[in-house]
Formats: sequence, structure tokens, C-alpha cells
Amino acid sequence: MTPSSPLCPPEPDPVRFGRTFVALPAAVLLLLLSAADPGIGEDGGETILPVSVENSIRDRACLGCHTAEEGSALASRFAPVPAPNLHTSGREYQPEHLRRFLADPQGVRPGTSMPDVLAGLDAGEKSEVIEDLVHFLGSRGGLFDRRPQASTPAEIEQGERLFSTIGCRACHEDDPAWRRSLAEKTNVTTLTAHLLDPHHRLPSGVMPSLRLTEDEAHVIALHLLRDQARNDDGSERITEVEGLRYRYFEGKFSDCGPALLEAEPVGAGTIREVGLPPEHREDFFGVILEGEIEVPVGGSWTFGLTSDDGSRLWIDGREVVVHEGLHAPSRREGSVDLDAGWHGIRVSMFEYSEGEELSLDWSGPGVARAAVPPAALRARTTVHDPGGEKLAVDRDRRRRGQTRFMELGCATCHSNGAPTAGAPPLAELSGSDSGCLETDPARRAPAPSFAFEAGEREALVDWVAALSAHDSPAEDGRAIELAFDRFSCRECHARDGEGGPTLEESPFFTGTAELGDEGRLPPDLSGVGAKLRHEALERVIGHGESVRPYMVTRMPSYGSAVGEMLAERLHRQDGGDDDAGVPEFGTRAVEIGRELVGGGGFRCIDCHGFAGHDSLGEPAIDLATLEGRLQPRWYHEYMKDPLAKRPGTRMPAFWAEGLELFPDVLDGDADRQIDATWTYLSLGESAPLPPGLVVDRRDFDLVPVDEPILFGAFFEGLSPRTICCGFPERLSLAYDAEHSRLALLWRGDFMNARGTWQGRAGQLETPEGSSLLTLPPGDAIVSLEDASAPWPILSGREAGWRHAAVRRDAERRPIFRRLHAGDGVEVEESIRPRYDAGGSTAIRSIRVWGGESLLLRLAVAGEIEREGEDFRTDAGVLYRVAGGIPTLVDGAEGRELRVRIPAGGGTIEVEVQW
Amino acid sequence: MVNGVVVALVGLLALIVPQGDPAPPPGPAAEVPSEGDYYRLVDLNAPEDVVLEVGGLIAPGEGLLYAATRRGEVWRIEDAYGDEPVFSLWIDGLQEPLGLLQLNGWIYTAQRGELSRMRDADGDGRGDEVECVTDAWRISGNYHEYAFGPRADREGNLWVTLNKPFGAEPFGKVPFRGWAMRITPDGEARAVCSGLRSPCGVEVSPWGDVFYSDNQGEWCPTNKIAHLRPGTFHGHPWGIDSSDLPESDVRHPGEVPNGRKIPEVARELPNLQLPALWLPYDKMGRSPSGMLWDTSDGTFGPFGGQLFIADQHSANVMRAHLEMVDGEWQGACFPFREGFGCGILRICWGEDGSMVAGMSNRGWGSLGNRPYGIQRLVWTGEVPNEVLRMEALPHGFRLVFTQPMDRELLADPRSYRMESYTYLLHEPYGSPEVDRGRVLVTTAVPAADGLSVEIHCVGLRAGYVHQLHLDGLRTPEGVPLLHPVAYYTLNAIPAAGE
Repeated sequence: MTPSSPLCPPEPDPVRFGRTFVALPAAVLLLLLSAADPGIGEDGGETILPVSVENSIRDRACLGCHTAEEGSALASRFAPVPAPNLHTSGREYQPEHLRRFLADPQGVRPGTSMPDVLAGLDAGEKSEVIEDLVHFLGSRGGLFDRRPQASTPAEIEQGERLFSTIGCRACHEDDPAWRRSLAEKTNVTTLTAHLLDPHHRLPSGVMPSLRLTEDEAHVIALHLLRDQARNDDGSERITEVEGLRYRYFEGKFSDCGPALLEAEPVGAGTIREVGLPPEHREDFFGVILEGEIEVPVGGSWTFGLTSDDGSRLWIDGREVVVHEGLHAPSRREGSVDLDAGWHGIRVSMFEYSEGEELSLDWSGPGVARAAVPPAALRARTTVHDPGGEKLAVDRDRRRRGQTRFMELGCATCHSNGAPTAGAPPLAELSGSDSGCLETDPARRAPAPSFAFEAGEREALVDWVAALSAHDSPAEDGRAIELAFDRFSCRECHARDGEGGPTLEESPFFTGTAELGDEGRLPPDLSGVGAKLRHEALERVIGHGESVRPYMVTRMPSYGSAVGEMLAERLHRQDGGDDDAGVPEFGTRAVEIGRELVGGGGFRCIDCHGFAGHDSLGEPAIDLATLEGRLQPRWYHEYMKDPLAKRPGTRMPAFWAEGLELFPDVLDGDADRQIDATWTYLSLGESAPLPPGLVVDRRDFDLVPVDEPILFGAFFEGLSPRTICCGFPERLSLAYDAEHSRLALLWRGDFMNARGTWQGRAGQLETPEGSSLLTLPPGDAIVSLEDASAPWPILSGREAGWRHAAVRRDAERRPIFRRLHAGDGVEVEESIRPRYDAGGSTAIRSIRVWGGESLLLRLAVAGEIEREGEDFRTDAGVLYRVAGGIPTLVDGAEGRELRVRIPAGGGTIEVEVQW
Repeated sequence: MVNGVVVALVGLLALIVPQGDPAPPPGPAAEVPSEGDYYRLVDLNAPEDVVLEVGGLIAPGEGLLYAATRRGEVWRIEDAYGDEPVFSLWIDGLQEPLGLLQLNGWIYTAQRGELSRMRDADGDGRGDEVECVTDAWRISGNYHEYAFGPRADREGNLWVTLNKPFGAEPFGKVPFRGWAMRITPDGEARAVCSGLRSPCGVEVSPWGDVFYSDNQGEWCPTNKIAHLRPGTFHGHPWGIDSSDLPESDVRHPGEVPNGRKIPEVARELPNLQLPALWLPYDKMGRSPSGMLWDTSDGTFGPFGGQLFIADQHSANVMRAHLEMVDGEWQGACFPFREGFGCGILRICWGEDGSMVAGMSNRGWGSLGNRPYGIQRLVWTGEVPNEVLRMEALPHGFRLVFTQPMDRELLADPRSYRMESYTYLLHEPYGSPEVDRGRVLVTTAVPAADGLSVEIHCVGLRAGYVHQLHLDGLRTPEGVPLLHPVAYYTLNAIPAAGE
């Protein structure tokens, strides 16, 4: 197919082309394409440019040399796609690879968009030019690192598993020729960096990011470059020992985090069992054990890690046990499904002071809990050796190479350089077979030699002949097709009856078996612009947002620009409307919707998780994510008839014709019931948990369900004496008792108490939720005659305030009392959550006794506008004040919303929406 | 000259006093008794989802217990002495409360950052007010900054002991860490003692003096129980600069010498308070916590007036007898009962006369096989065969027993094996037992009833722990002592004629 893929030289990943140019006359091509692509006829004329050729024109950077009129639609529609970034090519490519590739781009990498720009030179001259270029490109950003790199067969196997399941295979086939060319081209470090951030090296964006972790990228690189770990005869280079390899570190580690993982070892060796290294000091050290573990039978295996102090266990790169903290010997376990056979294992452990211990037990099908036997452990190592010869850089050649890089036009594509001199502007092209389109090499020079696909040349001739027909921006449908082609969307997704995994590729898409094809195949994108909200489309395409926990294949991220463009086009093309069909908000509807979703209603929670808590059964999409993703109209229609929107779905039709499951709820009216569930779910992160959900309190998550939870903690950025409260309405607060001030509000999840409740604890805690609202610093209430005077700097204890009490009201919500002995002022402050459309509102209540000239400061922001009774900050926070006189003043940090408290005291009530 | 005589005398005695343990007594070997024959452990059954890491415990009667947990909750336990106790969350959101005290209609607790008092104002069975009594001390955000207590003295003052930090202090160093605070009934706090390390237990004696337990570590050579006499310094230099603050009642001790023997340091630092008891490490637990005076008047056995000391590592309770010598408290400690579910933080008297123990092994580990919980220790009514008291005399000790002992064995000096040692006050973590010396028991004079004996010793040293083994003693029926060992902290030797 089209060089949906790049481009020029050192392009490590040839893309397997799903659709290829067929050698057919243009007219037949036209027929075929217009049948498949209704958007194509819109140019309405004799010239129909196939989508793939339009992309190819940009990939081949035709307009890089044959310039179009600046600012014209033509110029922007066919703007060259940037070629690979060669700023650090010296570090990234074997010099010999550069040499071979420059000599014969097509031979080394069939299908590349890179032309042979040296085709017109005679052999001797050509090899001189190439050598100059190699000395320039081969030394840019440093020399190629040829040092062998230690690796393990387990890592290579793990990389293979990832490669074949997470989506790489949708575009790349793991064929021997490609593998060999990769092995001859680059090293593990370069490929790892490329996999982590493909957009950096390929600014065209055509290679998306699969949002890999560093470990994942590393093992995939090891897998792809596995030829480097073989001897010349193809045999594997493997050293095997019993037990595990260990690295030993010294230092005051407080967890098994980056400080340990990135430390320099002071000792290393092998060890028969999971335990402490043979030699270690008493305190302040860490150790990492690595190797493989053999599971005798496939199934669910439980690993128990006993340590003093903290430790962690990874199996096949997945974290299975996290047992951090300073603690005495104690055991913590985790389970993982494993096939029979060898798997990668890593154990890390640190010791702070006093006793130290480390051991690992397992239990699984037919194996009772016992220490992992030494026979089940091995450490195999191999070495990735890129080989090749070091480039002895010749400074003259390098200088000449740089000049040639400019003159030959390389910089035009690779460095966003000036158009190459000598090529006629686009408008002046004859439309004949001359220049680049010339088939006879002898007559073509000095034009570069492209390896056109069959039919492509003819299409280009037609295009050049009818340029004016294309001098307009692409319509939405056409632009979508162009993007789908360029980014290979249809390798995974169908849209409008076309595309999706082929029969032979289908087995590589895996997921949760119980959900069938629905649980493993990427969703059909027909009408997706009327399903997902505009922002959700942007997040999914641009950043790979993923909401389907049951799928192994990952949605890649194509970057913000692609996300924004496609989201807008799809939304418009499919007739999306994020606001149509929103039912009227009411707290009664919230309650009814909650009941219907819960265990006493339609039992949605049987399959759908909620706000991070697992469903009772299958792992279908988390319902708390719906509000931010779906258009309300689509949701309503989907509920009415799931199969119409998603053929083959397991989602039941609760409101099918003639079915009335809850006749007493809202008169059994399907539309009203569906609306109630929408209203409830539309609270998003503020939606209270549905009844019947099994709340997951493992791992120290604090989840308020029936009443508020209070939690005292050392709080990051506030004080070590902070009282946090999570309300069942999924609103939370942090009150800094040390400084007597309400400091933070947030929505969604409350807090995780691990740092305070595990081991010796004493960690600094942070909110788990989102939508953090930080209240203005310092005291909220001060004594100030002049309402516009600068806010005092001294605050808290220094200003005379002392924490006095926490009371609990009838709903067990906290009321915080503080005193100012000097001024004889007493203050009680509380938060009451209230549901409103789009989330919950905080009602902040401040009751004051005493004081004559007290001011309350509610907000500090760059700008605050009055909107009728309300005040809105430029950050979108809305305040409505009752019980005092609000006023806007200019403060040191911008505008401030202050409230004059009545002399002698009173109650101020503030609604805060954000 | 005098010294020469003593040395000669010691040498002579060494020749004439038979060495080694006496032969086993004649007659049939009695069945060896165990602790459980006298004191029985009873579990308190708790629901699985209640993480009962007890840091404070009170038994207010009517079948109730209140347990404060390290997770900041207070659980109200109804029918606590029955088979199916009923748990309800009384309040949450406290910061590591490590003590409960019922006083004047309130329940007091020490949180990390404040002394608080709590109550159920609306009578619905749940706590709904947590008032700050004082926050005269601060916390830097280090896990080790615990506050223990409170306990009320006879004047109604509340006592709280404060841990020093151990490691990073993310919010900056704060004053009065490693101090004892005395808070008047109206909330005014004074910093009355300095130099504490990890004072996990604070308790008021029946006669009104306040004692605390401290944990071995830097500047605390072994675990100890000491009198919180206002104005005294207890050895750890961490917080001594707070002496200069207006709330302090303690004089700055000056530079604390590093690495000297305890009796020497005591001579150099005039306001250094020596502990009433050194608890030799590992022999008498590893981490003393809550304490409890036996005020039971016989319902818990024969140890009325004595002190029980719980241990957070060894999952045991120890026993001590204190006496005043030369104006200071000192005395002996003994093993009492081991085998609790895990390390104990708090003990209190249950309404049925049993001892209620609240436990948690979190963070430091302990003996036992549970992570936390509550157990009660119930006296079976049988009197164990124990050393009831060990009292210092000008030339030796008097031992009093719970049961009459075989007088012949009592009179045999070979029934007693004694040595003495002291510790170094220094910065390293804990001190070995240093300057060991043999103490010779020359004669032993039993009372006619066999319930006591006076032993005369050569080699007594003031300022040293005197460790006494009594493996040879038996009752006339041949029953050995349940715990044939005692550790006497001989700060001062009573003058003759006292």
C-alpha cells in the first residue's frame, strides 16, 4: 500500500502494507476506489486522485521541490510530511547501514518514499558522495554505540509476547528480512527510545505511540533486535546458571522505587534462592534479584513475599506484589495467571535499619504454599552485540557531507530546509512523463529516482494535469479517508463496512475470553463521531485514552494535532452533538438512576465496574467514565436498542419492546428511566457508588459509602496535622489543623491510606481524586478595617489562631472549630456536598462569633467576574455568597473575592462550583 | 589498706564458698508448672474488617471496652467479656492515638499533634466531639513522632510523653520532641522532663509519682522504667535545646558525655534521672510499652501494689517491685506471662479483674502469630510459685516468696548465682552489658516460715544491675520457682540502720 510509512533512510520499521497498488488502468482504479470510497468523487471531474496517491504525494514530498503558490489550498493540502529526524543520526545508525541505504534505498528498504537522489551519478562519483554523507550523518550527535548490551532470553520472550498482542502486528510483520535489516541498522538503546517516543524520530506521526513503559519498550527492542544476540551461524548465545542473578546496592533507600532501581550496584553475583545476598551490611542497603521462574502447571499462581523492610515482585514485567514501607518481617501476596513454563522474575528489596529478611513462597494448581525451590529458578543471560565497524570520522569528508546534505536536497525533507534548487514549480510542470516521472534512467537525471507503485505514476500525471481541481481543502469525508489511510486505522477498526482485522491477523487480537469478539476486537468506528464527545475523540485518537480493560490490544496515540483534526472531522461528518438530548437535572433522578444501575435495579454492576471498583463479573467498561465519553443522544438510543449500535454486543436490551422490568419506577416509562440513569451517571467522578457494588478496600483505599470517612495524615504541602474528610457524595476536603484552615477540596476518589497505615508509615499523603480546588493560602478570616487592604502575611498560629475542635453533625460530617484568643473570635467551618448537574457543589459554611471588622477571603485569581449574584474566576470556579457582603478587590496576586462579616459575627454560606 | 582487706577477704571467700549450682533436690520430680496454669489467655473475637491495632484501651464498665487504633479510629465494644462482642465505630479521623483515659465525662487521648478530649454529646452511642486540650508541642512529619498518654495525676494534671523523630523531618525540626509534658486541668502545658527517646508507656503510681517506659536505642542503652520527676533530664540529648524555651521546667544539662558508664555520667550530670528499673535487653523484653499497677486487691493474684509492664516486641507482660532507697525509686523486675498473640501496646484492668491487653505488631514485628487484637489475661485462682519481692539491704537483698520454700535450699549459698553489670550512655543504638562482675552470696538466712530469705553479698556495686538466678530453689514439695530469675537495679545501696 501507500507508503503510509515513511520515508527515508534510516527508517527502522518497514510497514507491512495491507492494501497495495494494483496494476490496473487508472479508469478501473477509479471505479474500484469510488465504489469503496464515496468521498472521492467530490472533486467532480475527470481527475480522481486515489486517497493513497494523495498521501503518497505528501510522503514523497513532491511540493518540497516543486513548490506551490504559498498560502494556496494546494500548498497546504499537499504539504510535504516531515521526513525522519536525523539530528542525532550518528548515535542511532550503523555507518555501514547508512552507506548501504544511501546507495540503494529501495533495495535496502522496499517501499520507502525516499528517492535515490544519487541515481544520476556515475559509480565512482556516487560512492564518493555517499562516503561524505556517511561521515556527516554518521557523526551527527555522536558516534554509534557498538557496545554489547546484556539481556536475557526471558526479556526477549516477553518482548515477543508484547509485540504480538498489543498491536504492533497490525502494521508490522516480524519477517526475517526486516529483522536482519534492523539488526544491521541500529542498537537496543536507539530502538527503545524510538518505541517510547516514535513522534520524536518520525515527526510525520505515522508511527503512533503505544504508550509503552520503559521496560516494555526495552523488551520489545530486545525482541526485534534478537538477531544481534545470535552467533553468525544463527545459534543462540546463552549462558545459564541455577538460581537468580543479584545486584547489591548500598544507600539509605526508603522504598524499592527509582532511587534503588537506578542506583549503581556495589556487588553482584548469583544466588540459589530468593533471599539476601551472601554478603551485605546490616543496614541501609538494597538488592535486586533477576532471572526466570518455572511454573510447573498453568493457572493462577499466588506469590507471597516476606521482607524486612520493603520489597516488590515482578513476573514477566508485571508488578505482582508491592510490599513497601519500613516494617518488621511480614508477608504480602499477589496472584497472577501464568502458563506452564519459564517466566521472567524480578524481586527488589531494601533495608533501612534494624532487622532484614527476604523470602518468596508460591502456591498454585496442585502446589501448596512453600518456599520457591531453587530448581524452579534460573538465570539465563545473553548479549545483544550490534557489531559493525567504528566510523573513523574524516573531518573534511564530514564538512563536505554537510554541504552535500544541503545541496542534494536532503535537508529539504529532513531538516525542513529550503526547496531544492533547479526543480520547476508545481504550476509549471508539463504533466508529461518527464523529470521524476521519467522511466528511462538515462533521461531522468538529475531528477531523483522514485520507485513508484504500479498505477501511481499514471495517477500523478493525471494530478499534475488537473491541479486546479485539487486547489481546495479536503472535505471532511475525504480528510477522514486520508487520515484513516495514512494512520492505518482500518488495520484494526472497521468503519462503514470496510476494514478491521483480516482473517489471518484476527487471532493476534486478544482479550477477555468471556466477552467473545467484543472483548478482543477494536470497536467498529461507523458513526463514532455521533457517539463519542468531541473531547473524548480527541483524547482517544490524540492520546490513546483506553477504557476497555478487557482488551489486550492497545489503542495507540497519534498526538494532539491528529487527535484534534480527526475529532473535529468525525464529529461533523457523523452529525455528532454533545449537548442534544440532555435530560433535565434533578436530585430525584440521581437517586432513581443510582438504584436502577445498582444491585436492586438492572444490575449494570454485574458486568460494569464503577469508579475503579471491579464489576461483580465480567470487566466491561467502567460506568463512571461514561459521562465524559458519550453523547447523551447516542447513550439513549443505545440503551433502547444496543444491537442496532453495536452488532453482536452482550449488552442486554433492558428496555426492549414489551419488556417492563420496573413498572413502578417512573411509571415504567423507558425514556424516563434511561434519562434517570444518564442523570445519575452524568455526575461522573461525583456519582455516588451504586448499591450492591463490592467496594474494593484492598490496598488501603478509603472509600466512603454510607457516611463520611475522616482520616488524619501528614499531608504533602500542607502540614503533618491535616484532617481529611471524604463524603459519600464523592467530594473530599483537607483541613490543616496545624494552621487552622480549610486547604483543599477535590472530587472523585478520596484517599489511599497506605502511607499512613502500612508498616511504620509516616509518608506524606496526597488526594486520590481529581478536580482539585486549592483554597487561597493563609488565613481565610482576618481582622481588617479596610476591605481592600493587603491580606496579612502572618497566618495560623503566628497570627493567633489555634485549632479548637472537630465536631460531627447528625450526618457525621465534620465541623472544624478554631479560636483567635487575642481577638476573642471563634469560627466554625464545614462543607456540605450537594448534587448539581455535572457534579457536586460544595456548600461552605462559616459561622463566626465575635469580631468587629472581620473579612473572609474566598478566592484569589487572575480575574474574577461578577455574573449576577455569582462570581466566576478565570479558572471557571463559581461562588455564590449568602450572609455577608461580597466585594472584589485587587490583591497582590490578582483579583480577590472578599466578604465582609457582620460585626459581632454571623453565618456566611458559600456555594462553590468548579 | 581497707581495700586490701576486702580483696583478701574476697579471695578467701572464693576459696571457702563452694562454687557451682547445687545438686537437684531429692525426692520425686514434681510436674513442671507453666505460666498458663495460673494466668489464662482469653481471646476477644473481633469482626474480620476491624483492624484492631490497639493504641489505647479503657474498660469503663457495663461490659464495654473502648479501643483506640493506630489507624485513628476508636471502636466501642459492647459485651466485650462475652463470646460475641459487638463492635461499632465510635469515631474516626484521629492521628495515631496512643492512649485513652476516661476523666470527668470525657475520653482523653494523645494524638500525634495534640492532646484531645472526646465525648458523645448527643448520646447516640457515637463520639461526636474531639476538642483540642493543648497542642503545645508540634510535629515535623516524621513517623516516629508519637505522643503517648495521657495519664492524670492526683492534682488532675495530664501527662503526655513525646517521641523524638527518627529520620527525615519533612516539615522541619520542632521543639519538645523527647520530652514529657504536664498539662493542667485548664489546658496549660509545661515541659517537665527532657531526654526521653521512645517513651511508649506513661503511668501514675498509686502514690502519685509518674513513671514512663522507654525503648532502647541511641542514648538509651537498654529499655527502662523511670520516674518523671519534674526538672529531670533522662539521657537523650535530641531535644535538650528546647530547655531554653519558656515552657520548659528543665535546666539544660550541658553537653552529654558520649560513651561513659552510667554511674559515671550520673555523677557528672546533676539533673540526670536514673531509671528505677533497667530492663536488660532481650532478657526482659525488647520494647516496653504500657504499664499497669496492680490495684486489684487480690483479685488478680498475689501481686498487689506491684507494677506490670507490657512489651511490644516480646508479646509478654513483666512484673516489677519498686522501693524507695535514698530518696529515689529502684527495684527488681521479673518475667510474668508470655505468649500473647503479638506485641502489646496497652494493658488495662477489665471490670472482671482480668488484665486486658491491646496489641499491634505493625512496623516492628513481634513474637506471636497475629498482627493485632485484644486478649484478656485471667487469673485462675492458683498462686504461682514466684519471687514476690526483692529488696535491697545494706549488705545484700531480702527475697520474699509467694509460697514457703524449702529452708535447707534457701540456706544454701549455692542456690544463688549473681552477677552485676552496667551500660554505656552513648550515641550508638543500644549498649552491651559492660563492666560485668561476679557478686558472691556468702550466707543466706531463711525466715522460720520459709517465705523469705536474706542473702548477704560481697561485690555489690551501686549504679549496677544485679542479676540473680535462683534455679536451685524448691518448695518443700520439690516445685521450682516459675521464674527463677530477678534483675535488681541497684542505683543506691541502703545505708546500714535504714
